[in-house]
Amino acid sequence: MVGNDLVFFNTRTQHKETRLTRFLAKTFTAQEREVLKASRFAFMQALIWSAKEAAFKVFMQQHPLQERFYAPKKFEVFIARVERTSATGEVHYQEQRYAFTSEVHADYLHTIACPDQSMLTEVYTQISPRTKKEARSMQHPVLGKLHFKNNTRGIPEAFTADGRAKASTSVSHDGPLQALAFLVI
Amino acid sequence: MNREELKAKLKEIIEPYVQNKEALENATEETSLLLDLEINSAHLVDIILDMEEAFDIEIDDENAERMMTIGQALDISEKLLEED
Repeated sequence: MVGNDLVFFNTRTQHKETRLTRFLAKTFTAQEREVLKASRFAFMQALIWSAKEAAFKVFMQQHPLQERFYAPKKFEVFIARVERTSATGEVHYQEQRYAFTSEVHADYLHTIACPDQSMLTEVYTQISPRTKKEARSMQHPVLGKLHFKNNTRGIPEAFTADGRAKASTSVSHDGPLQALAFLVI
Repeated sequence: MNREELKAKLKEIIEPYVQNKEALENATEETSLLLDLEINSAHLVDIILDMEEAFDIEIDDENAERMMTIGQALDISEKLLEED
C-alpha cells in the first residue's frame, strides 16, 4: 500500500513567535522538535509533516473500519538521510513501521510511504497542475489510463476501462499542484 | 454562548481554510472538515489554535483527535467552556 503527501512551501502558515511554540507542541514530538531546532526549519517542518501524512494515509487503507482521526504526534518521524534533492526515513505508529522517501524540489516536496521499504521503488507517481477531483488521472505503462475517484471514506481508488484496478492509490494536493501515487498490489 | 452562536463563530474561524465554500454555506453538524469542506489537514492545527484563542479554552491532543466534523468541534468547545 502507498500513501503520499505534497507540501508546497509557500502555502504553510507563518506562525508568530508566541503561537509557534503552541503550534510545534501540538504537531511534533519532542524528538522531532529537536530535529527541527537543528536544521533548516521550514524545510524540515514540511518534510516531517509530509511523512506523517503519507504514513497516515497508508494506515487508513490498512484499517478499513477505522474512523478518521487527527493525531499527528502519534505518527513519529525518524529521519534517516537528507540530501539536496531527496530524503528518507521511517514513521512509527504504535507497533507499525512505515518507510518513506521524499523528492525535494525548489517549490515543493513530495513524500511517499509504504509499509515496507522494498515497495517504495514500485510506486508510480505523477506531479501535475491541480485538476478538479473528477479529472484526476494518470497514464500507466501497462494498465493504460487510470482514473482516480474517492470512495466514501475519502480514500482514492483507481479505475481502468475494465473496472477498479487492484492497486493502492493516494492523492495529495497543495497550492497549484497535485500528486498521484499508484502501487499495484 | 449558545450552540448556534458557537457554530456561527466556528464557521467564521474555519472559513479562511475552507476550499469548498459552498459546502460551508450548507454545513450541518455532520459536515466533515476534511472530506466535505476540503480543509487541508495541515491547517487543522491552525483551526485548533484559533479556537483556543477565540473561546479561551485549551484543546488537548485527546480532544483534538476526535474533532473531525462541525458537530464534534462544537461538542468539544461546549464541554471545555462548561469545565472552564
